[in-house]
Amino acid sequence: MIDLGVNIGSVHFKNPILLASGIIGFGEEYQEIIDFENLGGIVTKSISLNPRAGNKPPRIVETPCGMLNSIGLENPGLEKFLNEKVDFLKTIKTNVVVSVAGSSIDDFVEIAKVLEPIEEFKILELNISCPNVKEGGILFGKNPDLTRSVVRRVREVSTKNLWVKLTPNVTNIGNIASIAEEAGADAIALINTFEGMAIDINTFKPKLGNVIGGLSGPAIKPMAIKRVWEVFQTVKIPIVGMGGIFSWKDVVEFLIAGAQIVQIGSSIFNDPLLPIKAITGLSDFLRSHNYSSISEIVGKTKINE
Amino acid sequence: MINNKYPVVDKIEHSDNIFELVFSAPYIADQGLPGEFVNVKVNYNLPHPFLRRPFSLHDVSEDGKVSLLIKVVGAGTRKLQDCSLGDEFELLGPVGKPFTIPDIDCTPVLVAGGIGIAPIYFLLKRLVNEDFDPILFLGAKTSGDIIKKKELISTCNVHFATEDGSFAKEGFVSDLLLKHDFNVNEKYYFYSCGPKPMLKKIGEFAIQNNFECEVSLEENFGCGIGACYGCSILTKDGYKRICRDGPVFNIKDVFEFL
Ligand SMILES: Cc1cc2nc3c(=O)[nH]c(=O)nc-3n(C[C@H](O)[C@H](O)[C@H](O)COP(=O)(O)OP(=O)(O)OC[C@H]3O[C@@H](n4cnc5c(N)ncnc54)[C@H](O)[C@@H]3O)c2cc1C
Ligand SMILES: Cc1cc2nc3c(=O)[nH]c(=O)nc-3n(C[C@H](O)[C@H](O)[C@H](O)COP(=O)(O)O)c2cc1C
Ligand code: FES
Repeated sequence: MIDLGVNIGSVHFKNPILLASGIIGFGEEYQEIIDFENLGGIVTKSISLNPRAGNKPPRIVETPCGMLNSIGLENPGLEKFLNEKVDFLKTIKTNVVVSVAGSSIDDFVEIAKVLEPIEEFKILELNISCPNVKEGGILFGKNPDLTRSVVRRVREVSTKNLWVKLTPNVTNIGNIASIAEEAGADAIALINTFEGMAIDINTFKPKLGNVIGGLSGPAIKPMAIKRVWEVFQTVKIPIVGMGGIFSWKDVVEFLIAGAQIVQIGSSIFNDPLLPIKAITGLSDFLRSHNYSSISEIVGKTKINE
Repeated sequence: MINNKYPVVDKIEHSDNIFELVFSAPYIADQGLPGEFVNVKVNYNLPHPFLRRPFSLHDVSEDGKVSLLIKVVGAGTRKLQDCSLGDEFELLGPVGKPFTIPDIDCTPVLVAGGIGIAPIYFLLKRLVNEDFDPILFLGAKTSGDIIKKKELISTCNVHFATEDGSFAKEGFVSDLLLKHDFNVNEKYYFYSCGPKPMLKKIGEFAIQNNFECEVSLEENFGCGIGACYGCSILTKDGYKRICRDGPVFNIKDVFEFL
């Protein structure tokens, strides 16, 4: 059996396959059909300081090879998260990454402080890239100064492994990634969804209640790969890659582009067993090509060779 | 709730665009209740259509068969219509909050519009099995869209309406219901599934007359099991997930938001 293990800082992942934020909520429902234990980890729905009701429906529309969503970060807020979700999450025998969203820098800092003593959670993922909320969200991830401030301020209060999740909706993602690295991030997670929109040609109305939303799924994979490859050339810290993974081959592609870990998002809705199939597929691929570990393929894109 | 592959063992064409798919799916047949649904994967290897399609349980049998009644409206439903016996599909379910089977003596009134008969038929059979004496109101665009006429007539007290008048009363089934003589001394329990304008009319009538009333609602689904908050709708108690907190809701909780 090939060792698929990866380390980011002091945290060990038994394999590089994680579930992305916003896909499985806090795990209660999907635990019935996915063995989380077999995965490298799961990422929670982003939690905010106060509960968020989310956006006006419809919140989801299917698009060719993908989907638009405008959930609007519906989540129970920090207090309910602590009271109602943490006990269950602690029982999961793999890494649980807590995704954090704030409408202000102080929100991020406050949540990081409260989570600091919970030893079971070794990783925070800062969601500075949600396209579906009016305050905070993507506004941080599009602004180099705010990105620097939020990462710095959280770094000051948190000893956890700090991942910063970036939006692709910027001109120069490499620049934002470098700023997050300088400010103290332990890894860069990318990408969140692409801003998108769909209009009903019979009613002339937007198909999403929120008018605009975020595009995810296989449709965005080439754009995600390009950004992972770009960021791989600008930062030294590890990359957590995602965007459109639909098969084990996509996982291999992200690793070659430069990701050490990947997250699977919306394709879970299509096939909840995909993560397990991807682990087997990746393992078989490495064996059949005589690689003994993931590090032998990470970032090995051959240009002009 | 599990995710599993099940073979198609029968396919019955009821009209040009309404058909019934029968799976051999013992787990779902055993666990499924009226009002619950399954999420069906309609793509294989290719990533389109990307999301699963939800369908209500239409019927289950003791020998492990599960029927879905499907109206063809787009690519996903067409793919299901084009399948052959023996083809396997992944079904995730059963999911959702079922209709309530009353624990009091009452007359259930079931109102279905169009393909809304899918879950109402399963509920009707359950209620008859539990010795209730339900009344069914069934509306459709045209005569050909009314499925299982003979069986329904022999099972319960049924009132039909077609929008084009090609069978029974002409007009909307909700108008037929409003004209019905309900006995003021009797207890009624209303159930409805169909287009929103119909649900509103039925709901208004039930609320005015203080009848219990449950409706089955729809929204686009992402996960279809309660994890992604993609199907939330406003209710008296804030946003609720149709796929997990519903699809069946008490009319009093959702009426003002329909
Ligand atoms: C809980 C639940 C139970 C359902 N039960 C049944 C059932 O028993 N039988 C059945 O035939 N259908 C049922 N539906 C609706 C069914 O899921 C959709 O018709 C189906 O997903 C359409 O897929 P498609 O690829 O063929 O159409 P698409 O290509 O996705 O859509 C084609 C057209 O149909 C419309 N449409 C899509 N989804 C819906 C929807 N949910 N309601 C109304 N219009 C829609 C779209 O607006 C579009 O114009 C149910 C839906 C829900 C949420
Ligand atoms: C329904 C839905 C909800 C999401 N919610 C969040 C969220 O709360 N926080 C976050 O950082 N990303 C969220 N995302 C983005 C995903 O984590 C992921 O970055 C994106 O979907 C791209 O990956 P994919 O193409 O594999 O889905 C959400 C995506 C979807 C489809
Ligand atoms: S579709 Fe995901 S919560 Fe209902």
